[in-house]
Amino acid sequence: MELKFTPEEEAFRQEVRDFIDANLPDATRQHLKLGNAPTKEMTIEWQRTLNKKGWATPRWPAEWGGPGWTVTQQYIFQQENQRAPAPDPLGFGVNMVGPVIIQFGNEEQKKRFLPRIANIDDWWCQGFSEPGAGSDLASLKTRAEKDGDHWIVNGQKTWTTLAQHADWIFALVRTSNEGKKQEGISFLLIDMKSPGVEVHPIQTMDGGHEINSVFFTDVKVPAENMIGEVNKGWTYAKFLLGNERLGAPRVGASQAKLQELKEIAKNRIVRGRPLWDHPRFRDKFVEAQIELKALEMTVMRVLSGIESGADQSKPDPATSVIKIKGAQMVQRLTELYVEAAGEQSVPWLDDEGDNAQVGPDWTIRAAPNYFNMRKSSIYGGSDQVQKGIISKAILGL
Amino acid sequence: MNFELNDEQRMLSDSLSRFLADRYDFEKRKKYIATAEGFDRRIWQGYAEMGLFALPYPEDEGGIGGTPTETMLVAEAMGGAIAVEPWTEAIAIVPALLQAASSEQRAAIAEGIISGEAVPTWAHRETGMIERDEKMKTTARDGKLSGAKTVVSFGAEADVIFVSAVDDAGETGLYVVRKGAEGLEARGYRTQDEGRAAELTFDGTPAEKLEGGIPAAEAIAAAEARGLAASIGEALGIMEKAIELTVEYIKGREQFGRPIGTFQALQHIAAQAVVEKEQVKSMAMYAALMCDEGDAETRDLALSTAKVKMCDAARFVGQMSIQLHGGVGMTMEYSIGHYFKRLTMLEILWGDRDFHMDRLCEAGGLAA
Repeated sequence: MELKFTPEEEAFRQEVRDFIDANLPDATRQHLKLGNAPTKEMTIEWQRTLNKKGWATPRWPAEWGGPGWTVTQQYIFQQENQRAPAPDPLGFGVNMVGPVIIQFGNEEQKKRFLPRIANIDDWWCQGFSEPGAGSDLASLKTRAEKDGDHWIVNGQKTWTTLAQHADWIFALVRTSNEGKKQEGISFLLIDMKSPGVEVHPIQTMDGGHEINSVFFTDVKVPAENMIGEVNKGWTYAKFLLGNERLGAPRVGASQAKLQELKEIAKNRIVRGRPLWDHPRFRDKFVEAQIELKALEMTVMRVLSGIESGADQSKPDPATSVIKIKGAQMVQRLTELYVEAAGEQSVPWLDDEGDNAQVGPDWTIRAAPNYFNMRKSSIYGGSDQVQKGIISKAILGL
Repeated sequence: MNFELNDEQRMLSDSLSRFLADRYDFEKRKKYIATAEGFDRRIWQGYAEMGLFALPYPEDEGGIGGTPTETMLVAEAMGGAIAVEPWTEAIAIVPALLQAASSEQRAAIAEGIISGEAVPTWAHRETGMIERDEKMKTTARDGKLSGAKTVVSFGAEADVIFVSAVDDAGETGLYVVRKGAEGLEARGYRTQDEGRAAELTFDGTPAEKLEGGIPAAEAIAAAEARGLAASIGEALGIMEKAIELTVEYIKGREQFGRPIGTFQALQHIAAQAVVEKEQVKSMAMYAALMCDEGDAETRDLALSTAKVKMCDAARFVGQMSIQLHGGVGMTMEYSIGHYFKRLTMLEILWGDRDFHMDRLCEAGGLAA
């Protein structure tokens, strides 16, 4: 066992850091530093910068334009990109549908979609959840019926993140009602500009517009847009969710946030002295650091297992641990920001803008981010779903 | 960055687990703790024959050259069997303390420990002095010790007692006292977790000072770090076993016409225990890897981080194990209570949660 990175890996870290420093627009960095989500333009601009360097798709094989990094290098890159902070490459394309196309798609699909995913020429969104199919995803009802060399899609998807920007959606659709519900699902790629696709915004309690409902009414989808075999979509979806879980913890981002929180606490006077000198705050800060260290170690353990070629077919309890603890970590940090902002987190930033500015810039995002991040223990398999996985797959209950 | 075990490490872990499964099941353990000394010297000899006591010494001193990672693996297996002997002292503590000795002195003292003839222990804590030596009252004058040490593991049974004391110049030193030495009194008792401990008093007790190595204070700090790291490995082994026992129990226990393990309320508690245990596994590895960190403050803060995490997990896993066992979990007869008790003692020993939170908070947390 060895905790330290090799000198080559440290040199790689420096290379990544230098590249980000030299190329990340300052406005983007400042925008993210204040706790804002990146705009569409910021995400596209940064991903294209990375793509020019060959770094937009860290996990892809070299054959399809990946940089050929080891798992450790991928981790280092992710950590540095988050620490900067820079926008993440668009996960729906790069980490979700991309790997599915690489693993299960045909040659034509790979040639057609992969380069455009890498360069974010197409913005992808994910069509999994439905109003009646959340944790019980396999009960989804959006159906696709074969009509010659097309599929005709009808139904509704929901919680569709950033569908308002999307050019394409990868959707799970029901193609059979026979047998087990998991065995009648297919994985279909749908052009969002197709007639019959409608996107309706859903405003979240923080005031943001991140998620949407997507309606499909007799949408014609060419048969060649089906991934892999008909009725095998559930297998591809599970592969995709496994990938999603590994990326969930955002260790680098949390490390940067904690460092920032320490600075904030040192500069913020509460009841006559810096917040940092209040023992109750210090306890909470240190406890968050301890949680983050444990999470970081668990992430490194899993990566080390993958790198050493450990058997990936058996369920590794650590991946569900990472999902649960990763979500809690992000949520905990947003709580601490609200506590640090105190009453300065009360004003709501509306269209009138400046009226609501009563504290330092970061305070305006504290409460909305706290409200918003409640999502992290709900999406991608809720905490309760993860515990179900652990009790069945690991404990045999 | 690599968290994989090598073949030798896997072999060590497997062979010790086999030895314990064979010779240290719960029924046999009951017999060992009921003996006059509270442990079986043949088991101790068995550990010695497996090379456990040679493990931490360098190869050119007759050792095997093991690292804290090997110690962690031993501790994990020992935790699984709730083995009661002072193996932590023999494997983790004493080798670190002996860094204060010259290589000749070290070889002379270690010989009997490596062979298993002499059982060692560590007499450091005093009433009112938790882990810190600035208020130490035991004194050393003209090669003789006077003072008192508290809760010394197997203090009445051990053959070689390593003692910390301050001399007239106020310097902390390390001393070796043999069992039965003049002026040494041991008031032994059983512990909550079915080991033994003793209150030791020294009254002009002749002692051999460790000399010719690193400063004693540094050796003590290193020893305490290694003891703490080992205790996290031990806690991991206990939690793994406690979860195993509990899951087995709720699969078999039927109420309302079905196994209680089919109830989701219980499943999610057990699953949460797995989450906590996995975090402790990560922290046990982190603690082991940080033991050899050259900067003492960085090392100690890392170990405190691991200990706080371990305390929280131990509380949850221990309590849930009893809860899910229901009434039988309360009994002396079932093994689960014994795992719970040892886990609880490990929360307290080597500095409790508050001690380690203090250390971290005073330092302003971990460096980024």
